[in-house]
Amino acid sequence: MQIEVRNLKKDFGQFAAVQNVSFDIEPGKLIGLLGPSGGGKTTILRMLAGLEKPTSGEILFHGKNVNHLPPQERGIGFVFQNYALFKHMNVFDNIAFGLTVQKKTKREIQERVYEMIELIGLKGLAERYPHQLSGGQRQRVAFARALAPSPELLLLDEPFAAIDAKVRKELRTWLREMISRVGVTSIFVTHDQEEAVEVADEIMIINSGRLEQKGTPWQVYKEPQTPFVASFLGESNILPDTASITGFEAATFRLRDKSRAKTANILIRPESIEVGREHEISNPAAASIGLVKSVQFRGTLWQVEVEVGHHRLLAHRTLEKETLKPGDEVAVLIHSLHLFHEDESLFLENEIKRASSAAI
Amino acid sequence: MKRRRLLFTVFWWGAALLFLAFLVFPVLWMISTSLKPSGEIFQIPPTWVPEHPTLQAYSTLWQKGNFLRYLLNSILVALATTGIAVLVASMAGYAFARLPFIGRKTVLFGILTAQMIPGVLFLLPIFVLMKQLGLLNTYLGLILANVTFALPFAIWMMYGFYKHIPAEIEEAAWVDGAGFGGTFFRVVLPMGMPGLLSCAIFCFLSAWDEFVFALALNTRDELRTMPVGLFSFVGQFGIEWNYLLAGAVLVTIPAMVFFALFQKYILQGFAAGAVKG
Repeated sequence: MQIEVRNLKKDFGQFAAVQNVSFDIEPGKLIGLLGPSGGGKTTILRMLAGLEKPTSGEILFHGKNVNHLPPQERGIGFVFQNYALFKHMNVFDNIAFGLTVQKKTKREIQERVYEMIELIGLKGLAERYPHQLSGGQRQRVAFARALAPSPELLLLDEPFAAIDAKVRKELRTWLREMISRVGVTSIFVTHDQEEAVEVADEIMIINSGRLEQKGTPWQVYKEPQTPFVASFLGESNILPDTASITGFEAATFRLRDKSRAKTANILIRPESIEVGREHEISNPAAASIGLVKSVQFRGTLWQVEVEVGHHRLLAHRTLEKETLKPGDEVAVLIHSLHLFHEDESLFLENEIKRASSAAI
Repeated sequence: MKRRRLLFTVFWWGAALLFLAFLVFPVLWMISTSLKPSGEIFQIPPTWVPEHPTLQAYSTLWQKGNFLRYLLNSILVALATTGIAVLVASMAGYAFARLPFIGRKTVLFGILTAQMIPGVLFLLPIFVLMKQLGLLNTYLGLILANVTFALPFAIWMMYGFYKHIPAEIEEAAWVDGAGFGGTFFRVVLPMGMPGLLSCAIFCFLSAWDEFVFALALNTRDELRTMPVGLFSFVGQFGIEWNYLLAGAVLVTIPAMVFFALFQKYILQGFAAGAVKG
């Protein structure tokens, strides 16, 4: 389903939960609404479902305004965080609910329900009641119940939040496959960036009721448009200036408004910092000198805290290389950084490194 | 140390048993007296276990008077009260729990306040009302009076139960296409079934035990309920204790059976109403 949202607003009393949010969603896409708790993601989802009335703004499905339509008439499926299964009904009846309400024939219902049960991999469990199922199984049933009436839009509110970590990972992959197989346009809410990046075709970062950025996970990671997006997605070092960072001395002069460069934010991802002995670094000429402050094992890599000038940076180092110790003097090569000033955002590469690679 | 703990245990068990005896005594005394012949009832010192146990009081009860009639009347009045009260409370409770109408809290509080006023205060107004409606000496009059008194608490009980059902469940039903009625009857009501059941038991018992209105609102013997029927053994010059208490045993039995069967739901119902309300 083609979805357009125009200047959507929602106030709860004095509190503005959603402020002027606009976006378009292409049919068949799987969209992740990502952001911190209390940011307005769920409110947006509930407005799309018709469970919450917008204070102002428009929601269009297939180009038609649906603001006035009750949830029953929107042709959507909704998966709730806590499953919201009907506990007095067994798996079959839960999945059949929407079809029964639509007064489908018994045969149609039976065919569709067994098809769904097969799809969610719970064959043989049709007679079970929700309390006889595990969390993961319940969420699959909730998913099947939402999909059984063939909705054009599937909305999922933190679908994995109540499930333990290991099952959550399996379910994510499963959900992604399932949705692409069924081909239904889907929007899911999550506060877990890993989940959003792994599952979604596109993510929308929502913070304090505003849409900060929309794009593919890679785009949003690579080219964050606001400091919030940059700091929310992935790890990052935030610095007030680039003084004493080799290769970026003149970075702030690239801003449009040079006079206010002092109020800029600089963001450096740990994965774009190379730290090590001088001979290990790919381009020593472009590196600064730093002092190792601490080293922590992080499961798949070392996290090294290093002091460069008056800055403290967190960097990653592979486990293959020699272990660094606090107090070691090291070379610190920063490949790239993001510069933010008001609504301007710049992605900059290390100039010395660029110059030297251009020379070759 | 061990000794102290033992003393402590003995003390608490003793206290609990004493309390239990206090509660059970009237019931045992009632049963014991109902099995005594008239001569033994006022014997001093009293006998705990009847010396000459007899079922004479019971058999007279069956033969004499309209005992069976009273029993059927009681059942009819209690069941009808339960039916009407549950029907109204199941919907009113839902409205108070979910629908955002103006004055909801005030009305809900008003209902609770009404519950605090002793029922006897309403005796005269209700009598006059029933007289004007021509409902004196009818089953309907008594049933309506009973519903009036069972309803406030029943509504609160159901209100507590509905509050306990997550709103998401209803939203899930809406999204799947169910309307207001479909959601209520297919999802909400079945999920509130334990509440409905405990509410029904409460209404039944309150109507079953009711005495004052049953006495006041009708004067005809064939409309009397059990409690009023028993009252006829309290005469002007004396009380026929063994008949009275044999009748009391018979009235108590259905209530006890009811309670034993459904006590799980009753406790659940009161707890949900109390904590989640």
